[in-house]
Amino acid sequence: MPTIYREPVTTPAAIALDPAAGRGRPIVSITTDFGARDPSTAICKGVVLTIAPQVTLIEITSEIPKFQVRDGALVLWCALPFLPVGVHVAVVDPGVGTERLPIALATVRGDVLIGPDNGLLIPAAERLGGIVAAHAIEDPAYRLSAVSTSFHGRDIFAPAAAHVALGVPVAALGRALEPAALARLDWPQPRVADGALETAVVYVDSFGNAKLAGEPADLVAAVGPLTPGDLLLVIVAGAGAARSHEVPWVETFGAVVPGAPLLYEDSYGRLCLAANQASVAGLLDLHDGAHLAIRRA
Amino acid sequence: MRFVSITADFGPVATAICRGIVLTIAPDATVMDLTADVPAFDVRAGATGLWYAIPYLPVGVHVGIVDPGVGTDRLAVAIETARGDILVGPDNGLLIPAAERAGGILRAHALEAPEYRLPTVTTTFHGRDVFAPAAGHLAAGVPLEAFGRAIEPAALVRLPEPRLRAAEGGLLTEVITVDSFGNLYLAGGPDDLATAIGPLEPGRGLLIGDDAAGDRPATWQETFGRVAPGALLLFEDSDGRLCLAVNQASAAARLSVREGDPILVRGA
Repeated sequence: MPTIYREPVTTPAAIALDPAAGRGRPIVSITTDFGARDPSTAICKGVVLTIAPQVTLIEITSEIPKFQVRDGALVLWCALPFLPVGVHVAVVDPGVGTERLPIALATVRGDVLIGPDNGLLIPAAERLGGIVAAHAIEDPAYRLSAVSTSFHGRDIFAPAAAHVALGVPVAALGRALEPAALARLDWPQPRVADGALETAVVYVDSFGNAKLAGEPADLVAAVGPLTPGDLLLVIVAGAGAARSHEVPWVETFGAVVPGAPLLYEDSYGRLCLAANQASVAGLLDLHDGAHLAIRRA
Repeated sequence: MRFVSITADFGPVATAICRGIVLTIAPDATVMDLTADVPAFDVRAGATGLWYAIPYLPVGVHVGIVDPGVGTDRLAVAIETARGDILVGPDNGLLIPAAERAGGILRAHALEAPEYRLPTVTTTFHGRDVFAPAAGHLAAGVPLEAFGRAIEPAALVRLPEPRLRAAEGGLLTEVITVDSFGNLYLAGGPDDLATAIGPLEPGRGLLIGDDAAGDRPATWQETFGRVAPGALLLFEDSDGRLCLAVNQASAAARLSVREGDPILVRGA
């Protein structure tokens, strides 16, 4: 898997037909923790379409766990490389209405990421080649006429996204910000120690698959070269005694019997624990932030 | 063919990624999620959802992804229907009921040609790497035979047929799917039931037998509001199938049954 995406992801046939595949259409994606029951995400879409009716909207999700900026950041990191180049609004914004800035980041790939300056946008921006410009969203011309203290998705981010999708330059939104001065998240890092990889669960998806901090190369650095079928020990730290589980390193779910756990490289290039047709989070009692160590069995 | 639908069990994010790939390849396509929330790994629930929906969707490319065998030797396929749709997904039975409802299978091809896949095909996300690119190219007009070798329709994997037979003086059927109201959709239609127990008139009393408890009284009716709130009714659903419901409550909770459980319907 590539680690940086400076171009849209598409097929050889699409590139042969149109070298600009994935560019040039006004696309706005939206990722929030607003939930599917409340109308907030639809309201943001409505604001975008009022300003820019020709936009194609892609709702990535409204179901980021509430206030979990890191979960939102990981979803954007996973998803944005596979969307057309566009404007990507993300709202997981527990600091809404405080002095945290609303920002727009232009990436090397050509996308513009819009949201709060709380670290949410940074990992995805880096995966899209890095930040070429960062601006505060301040110009009242590109905000709704009344800006509330608690719904900047509607009042600031959605209008800015629509205007940028229509061609307003990012620099017109407000003053330039130093990329190094942007807020960043504290992200768990894997650690190689004494024949083991110490890592943590960074995200549990809707199947109960547990994405871990680190990549296969980190695990190889800890336990040596991996061949499908190699047996590993996953040791889960807990309040009581650590629990230890034998888990094979394999290529896909169906390589183990239904219900059994597996460790694999997920489709984004990360280390991931899963169970065939079951929830590994349920099976091994894992949750976001759980610490674990992996060594050879 | 500019219309693309997506039916998946992997939630909104992975579905949006598939939508992104389709729109990168076919920017003019209209892409609609049928649902991203098929119960995880439940191929039959996905097949049932597609069966219910396809008559009401524009002729187009319909991607189905409920794919516990991803990355194993199961084939990736595209199936052309008599109505003119192309169904795209794993060869695990998911697409067949909808294909049959759309007039039957004209031909099927494997999705093999690397030029119509993403440059990196992972072992665990063929929705993104294989199916969505194929859907984008099909929507953009690439002919089905360009994707790979022809597959004999009879050789495609089928799901097991549900129970449906006369038994114990009634009709033995099973729960095919449970919707968000807790309504229980059963195998078979009113004709099957009438053959087993005689003519059905609105108001006819029935007995519903399941494994959890003995017989429960129900009424054959036309719609929910024809019985008292909380009462059990059996009716012909909006697609001609038998459906067991409770007026303004969940039949699944009332009967403690789930998909695949047997249901015996008899006259009262």
